[in-house]
Amino acid sequence: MVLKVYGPHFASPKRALVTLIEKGVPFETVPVDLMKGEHKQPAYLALQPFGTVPAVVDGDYKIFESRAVMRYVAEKYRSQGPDLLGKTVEERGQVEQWLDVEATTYNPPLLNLTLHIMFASVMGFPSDEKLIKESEEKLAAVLDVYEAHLSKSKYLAGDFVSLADLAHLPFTDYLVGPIGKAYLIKDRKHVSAWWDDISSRPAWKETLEKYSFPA
Amino acid sequence: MVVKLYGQVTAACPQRVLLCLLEKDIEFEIVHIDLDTLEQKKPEHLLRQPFGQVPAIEDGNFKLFESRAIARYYATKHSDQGTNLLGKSLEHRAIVDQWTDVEVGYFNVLVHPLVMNLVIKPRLGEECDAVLVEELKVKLGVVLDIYDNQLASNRFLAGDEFTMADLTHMPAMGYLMRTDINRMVKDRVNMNRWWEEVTARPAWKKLMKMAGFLT
Repeated sequence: MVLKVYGPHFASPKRALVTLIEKGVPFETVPVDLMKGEHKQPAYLALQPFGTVPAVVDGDYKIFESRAVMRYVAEKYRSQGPDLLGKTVEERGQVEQWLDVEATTYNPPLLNLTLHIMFASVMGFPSDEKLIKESEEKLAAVLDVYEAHLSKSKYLAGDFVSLADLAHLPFTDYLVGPIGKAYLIKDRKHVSAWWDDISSRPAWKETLEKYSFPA
Repeated sequence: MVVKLYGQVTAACPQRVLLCLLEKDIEFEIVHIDLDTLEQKKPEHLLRQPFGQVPAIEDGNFKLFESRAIARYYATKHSDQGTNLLGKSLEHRAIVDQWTDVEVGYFNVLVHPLVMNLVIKPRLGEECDAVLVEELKVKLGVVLDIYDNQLASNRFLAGDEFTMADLTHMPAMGYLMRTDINRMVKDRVNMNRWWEEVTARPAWKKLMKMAGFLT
């Protein structure tokens, strides 16, 4: 039975998708219609009780939270494709550190920008200009730290690409695209080079090609 | 070599690491970083943790920050010592990771501002945002219902055993339980049962004594 990823057209599920493609793992996707409220229906809540995407089903096994799925896939398929967890316990520690930075520090202000710039009108709430300004400032401060770090390190966890780098792809793709704030990345020399590197990986290009939101 | 933990013993994030080290019988030394005088933002600490937060660890030449990454590192490195915090199989570990990630995205995102407004701001003589507190309580109620449901059919968050998934919630939950909001946990049968069981653990009691919350 092939692994299934629910909600492929949205950003968070793409963390799981890019990892599966990097590792050469076959999978299927199941669309979830957020506009129609499919994620709040009992059938979906049985897979993901918080009603968000992604959810993953692998035979009898169910798992949610995109970064937990990334870790699961990277560990289960350790011997194929790039080693996205590092080679030692210490390298894995560095991967976990930057994966957590993405979750606790990078993504929250970026998520505010995503919701208030891209989705406010569609989701029917007023776009909060003050929050947008504060979120951009917060994200800029975080990116200054990234700039200093990436001036000494090719990728976030060291000289190897890891889950930590991949986790940044989906929402940063929104940032440089529809959010219209590519300058936050481009104006920082090392962040820009890192972004160009990871976003040109064939697995990411394939993810975007196959699972971008239908126009 | 003894693990050096930089942080304040009363702060939730350093407590997350301390609880892991206590559960795993790993020796440590706390180097106090004074949050009240913003020592975490000073140049010396920024070299250890570039985002200006606590905790950070130094273990010989190895350095790490992000409390959950540090806890996962030690739980992996010393997997056969003390409490097993990462589950018995790859699939179980992924469920542990799943609920640990839920703590970041659904629990802490609400509990952190609640504790800031109900505990920290009054202590610093700042005004509490009462409107925000009410909004957060409503959202927290929804989340705690999901947790309560999970704990109705599972002794601990990720199954029959105490894991990182439970541990990671405990420091912030400890703060929440010392406010009037503790009713939100006590009134939910399964959450209450779980909280009583996890806080009866010797490692937790030791931590609370160290932090001066228990005599």
